[in-house]
Amino acid sequence: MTKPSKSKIAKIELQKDQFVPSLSMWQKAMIRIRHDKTTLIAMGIILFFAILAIFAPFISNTIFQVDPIAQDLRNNYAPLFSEGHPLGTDELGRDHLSRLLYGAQISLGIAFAAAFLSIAIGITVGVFAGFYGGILDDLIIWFITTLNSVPSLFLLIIISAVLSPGPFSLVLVFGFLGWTGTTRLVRGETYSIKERDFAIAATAMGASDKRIMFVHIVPNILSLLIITLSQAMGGLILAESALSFLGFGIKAPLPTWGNMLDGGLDYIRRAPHLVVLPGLLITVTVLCLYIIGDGLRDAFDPKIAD
Amino acid sequence: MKKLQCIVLVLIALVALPIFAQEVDEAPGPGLGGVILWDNTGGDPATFNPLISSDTSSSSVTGWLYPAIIGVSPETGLEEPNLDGAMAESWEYDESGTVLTINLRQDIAWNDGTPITSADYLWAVNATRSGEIDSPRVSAFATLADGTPTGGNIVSVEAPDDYTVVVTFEEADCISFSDVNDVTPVPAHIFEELYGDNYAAMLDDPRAIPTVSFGPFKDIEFAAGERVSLIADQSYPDTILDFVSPSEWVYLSVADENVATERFIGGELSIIGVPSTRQEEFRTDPILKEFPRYEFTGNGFVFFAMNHANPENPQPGVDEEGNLIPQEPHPVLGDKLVRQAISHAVDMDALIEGIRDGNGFKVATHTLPTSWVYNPEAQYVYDPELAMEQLTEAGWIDHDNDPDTPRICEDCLYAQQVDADFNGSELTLTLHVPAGGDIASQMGLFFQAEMNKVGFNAEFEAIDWGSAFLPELDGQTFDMNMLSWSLGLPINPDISSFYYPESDIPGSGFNFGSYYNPEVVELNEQARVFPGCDVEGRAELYRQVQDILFDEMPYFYMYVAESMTAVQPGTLNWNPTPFSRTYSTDAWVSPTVAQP
Amino acid sequence: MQKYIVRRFLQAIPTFFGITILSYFIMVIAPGDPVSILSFNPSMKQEDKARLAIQLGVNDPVPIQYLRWLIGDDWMMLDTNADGEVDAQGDNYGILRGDFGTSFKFRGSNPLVLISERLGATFELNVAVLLVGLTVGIVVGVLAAVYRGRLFDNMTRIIAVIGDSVPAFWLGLMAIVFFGIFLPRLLQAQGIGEGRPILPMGGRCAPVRGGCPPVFLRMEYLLLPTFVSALGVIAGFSRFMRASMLETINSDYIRTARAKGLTNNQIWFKHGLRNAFIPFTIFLGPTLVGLIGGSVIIERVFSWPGVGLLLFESVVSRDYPVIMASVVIGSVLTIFGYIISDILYAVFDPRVRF
Repeated sequence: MTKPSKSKIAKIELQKDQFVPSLSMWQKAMIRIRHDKTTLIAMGIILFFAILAIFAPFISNTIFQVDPIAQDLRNNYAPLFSEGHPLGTDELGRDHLSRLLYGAQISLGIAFAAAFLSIAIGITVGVFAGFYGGILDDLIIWFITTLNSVPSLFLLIIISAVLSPGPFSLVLVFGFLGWTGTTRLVRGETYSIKERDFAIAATAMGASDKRIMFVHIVPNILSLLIITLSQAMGGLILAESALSFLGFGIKAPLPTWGNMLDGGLDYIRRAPHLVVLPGLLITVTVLCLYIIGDGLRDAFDPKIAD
Repeated sequence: MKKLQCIVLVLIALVALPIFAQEVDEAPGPGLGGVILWDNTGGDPATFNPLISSDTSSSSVTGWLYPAIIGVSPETGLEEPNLDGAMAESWEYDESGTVLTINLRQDIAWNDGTPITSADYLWAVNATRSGEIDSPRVSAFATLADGTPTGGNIVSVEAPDDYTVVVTFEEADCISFSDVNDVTPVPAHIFEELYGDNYAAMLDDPRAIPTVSFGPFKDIEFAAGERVSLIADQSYPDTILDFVSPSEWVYLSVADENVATERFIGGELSIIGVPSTRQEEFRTDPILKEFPRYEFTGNGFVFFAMNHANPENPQPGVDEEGNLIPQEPHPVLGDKLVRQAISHAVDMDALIEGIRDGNGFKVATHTLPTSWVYNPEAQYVYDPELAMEQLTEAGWIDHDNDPDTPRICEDCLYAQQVDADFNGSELTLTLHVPAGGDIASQMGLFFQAEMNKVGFNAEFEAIDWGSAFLPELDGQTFDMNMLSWSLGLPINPDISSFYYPESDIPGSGFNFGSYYNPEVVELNEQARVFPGCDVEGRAELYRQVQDILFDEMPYFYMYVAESMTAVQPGTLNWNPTPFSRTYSTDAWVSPTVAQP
Repeated sequence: MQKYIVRRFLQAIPTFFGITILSYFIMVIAPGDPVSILSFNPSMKQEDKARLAIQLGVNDPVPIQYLRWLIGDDWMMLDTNADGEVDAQGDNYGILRGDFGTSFKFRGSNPLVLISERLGATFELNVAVLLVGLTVGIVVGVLAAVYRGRLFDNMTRIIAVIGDSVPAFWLGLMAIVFFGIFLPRLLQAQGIGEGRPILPMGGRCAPVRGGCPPVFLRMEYLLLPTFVSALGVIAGFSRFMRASMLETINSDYIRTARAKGLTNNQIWFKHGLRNAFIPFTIFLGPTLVGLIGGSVIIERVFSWPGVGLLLFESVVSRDYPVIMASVVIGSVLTIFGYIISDILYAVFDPRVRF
């Protein structure tokens, strides 16, 4: 038996190298994101804010020993880096840093919860509409078109003025007004997936409707939903601050970035940090969320050549 | 903060000028004094018919276009004869004090030449009394035209000739005189032609733009959502100079209050009421200091209304026959000791210093510092220790020696008098302020914090005026609600509409706290019909009333706002008084730029 | 094509009814009632309040109220003096016949008249924003696609997104103060100008008599509100345009064109652009809706006398006839926007066949 020559071995190894295992869409996306510096930075910032928000009580009460509610009228409008108040105090002498932290909790919390709620509703309604079709679908489309035809800020103003929502009810209001986009998306995808082979095969094997819907269809559109989540959150933070500007939305003493920004406008010459900081935080957060949304969309897009 | 107007009179002062004018500079000439721009943050005027209007935006405009029957002096805040823009030349009562004869000037006319006569006042009175126009001013009269009682004192109004008006009152008193001014004279010859005696037709005439007027400005041009514009009426006889100096008066819609002050600073408005949060800037900032400003004590006060009766069971003060209906006391506020404890628990100086930047004048009674019944000695004392002692004495015990936890009732007033099961309840109160004002919310939060420091469990919320605050105030289901009274001119110390049991009507009356003290009623009545209406004599009685109000606290009286008005540098002939900052407008020379 | 248009309009009818039901539902769930607001004066008695309530129709059961609102009550007898017996005919024609009742706040005024007074201003602003947003957005988006990955692309993406992230009212107020006070003072200190506002600080035109002059004579009033509003539109349009262009460029038929030897210019601007426009037209409808609704904020900041501001004031004063009229009219305009958008889409995309 002759030993295989080196060149032959080299050829075989070369062929092995040319065999690149195909990556799933998720894996490809992960790789792309890892190279997308802008999106990574944005994610980092959002993560940082989220941590601050979650640990707001701990940071505020234990580390700095300040309180978002305690007033100290004689010490109001304290500037940045005052003693005992690292970011100064507001018009009632309440600590600004603490209010920003708790405000993060509420603003980010509302945005996330409401976006999540509207997507959840959207998925459910969309999948049902797409899967069952017929009258149910027609009814749902009618409802969606109706809801979309009313300028949303009109509806939001009227409902907020009328119901005077607190954080929980605001989440419900936002959630119940914002699901139509997701529904359309999901419905469309459901229609197309329904007809695909694997779905038909699953039915033939006796899988229940629900199983098909949630186990097979939803994972296929997960990437789209994540992108929507990110962008919806950005829009909701802006919506909450717009509501506060108009005088509706969450009221004092509960701090949100939106009502802190609005409340501070009176004092812009006297204590600009009361306005600049909440405004900056809102802008940066929304910016990062939009960048993440864009970055994710680029990452998951199969058509963009690498 | 919503201002409630008991009497829509303050605008009369706009057109009533003093005879002895203050220093007047030379103005360049008729119509050369520039365009006067006011800001309107209250939305479009609802109507230009003064008989049916009830919002400030409307009266700001109509104030320029119609005369007053009796003028109120911007110098003194009291009625005086022969004032600019007013019809009355003199008046006298008869011996019984119930018949008032007003002699009218014979030298004034509407700007189409028709003389202004008693018929103009009479037409307006008849329209108001017809009941067809839903006017709030019917309360000045004893009955409507059809005999329905309306609770006022004016029985009849007659015009024996063109220049005499005879008003008959039901009884002789010292306060109904100002009610005569509630009704604005209108050009009868025009209104008669337009509406005849179908007064209700006025309600269907949107934005009734008048064709004939009496005042320094005329000819309304209205652009919805943008502005109302009037041009100078050089035929106006009562000008300070010999002519109307400005060319135009514009009421500019500014949607957001933050922007209004900025626009004034930028030169787009002639005059502005400076918000309390910016007043310090206008005193200290090198550029803003150059804007001429006038600081004065306002003509209204802010207070927390306290419900003395049980909010679970609102009752009117009197029944149909006028018999008193006993009111079940409020579980917490029904006890005077508790109310007084609250007055010792809140540091009003800190509130005025910190929240209002010192722009506020503390009051503790139902008067203004400019009022002739003001007693400067009556002030709440800040003493939290005393507050806690009083609460303990009232049966609200701090059982764990921790002032921050709520006190518990052990033999408190309500448990003793009404329901022994109440023992063991917490000292809970709900504080409400109308939503939409930052300052109001800040003050509410401060009250909550202060009260909680002495053992209350106070909850606070800013709630929507129309859908929540008003219904519970009116409906008497509240605990402590903050609002303000804006008192018209002249200053009237009569407190009947606020504290009489007859005004305690769930759903509409102003005695929403169900306060009742027979002595207060008695003293107020004596002052009302004091023989000769001697000011000193009445003042003494009213002071006694205020002493009782100070002690018994139907409200937590808070403060009178220190207000500041500013104009553009270089404005000439601006002569503000505490009673009117704008009465000399027809002589102004204003450098405001109408177009940037 | 005509059949398609007719069909779209017919499809809009159930939506219209849906809108009316939704609007009415809002009024129903509202706490508090308009009668209290109108009558916070001490001399209005209980009977008067009751009479007012009946005239306003607030005491009937909800479905009846809805019906009365929709088709009028001149076919019904009403009990106007609350004595339990009907005595007079209603006088409302219902919104289907164009009768929206009369405003509570502006007594005697027809809500449709109130809205029409303000529509011109809103249209003006929205058209300006659309024009600016479209032109700038398209140009920026195309250029970003052409120079993908380079500095221009990244810079504009970031700036556009920042512009979209800043709260609009915040930006508007800053702009007003900057151009109205800060900049003039700065220039004045350097000896330039008199310190007067460089751009107007609000309003639609100078407050002079005779009404507003035509638009082109008062462009400076339109400048700030348009640009502040347009930032979001530019951000959205440019992003979409860029993505759309990129997608088209990578598509098969373009590759064929390239293979056939067409120049870059021809490919980008003749074929790519035209096809990238197609999905654009879908955007028009929703953008218009967003503008109509979002105008509340801009109108408030800049005192722009539009429908958004009217709605805001009516909500605050619980002026239901005007609120409902604004919602219905606003929605009808929105539906039109969508229909026009669909028709444009059908016109431009030959693949859509009926």
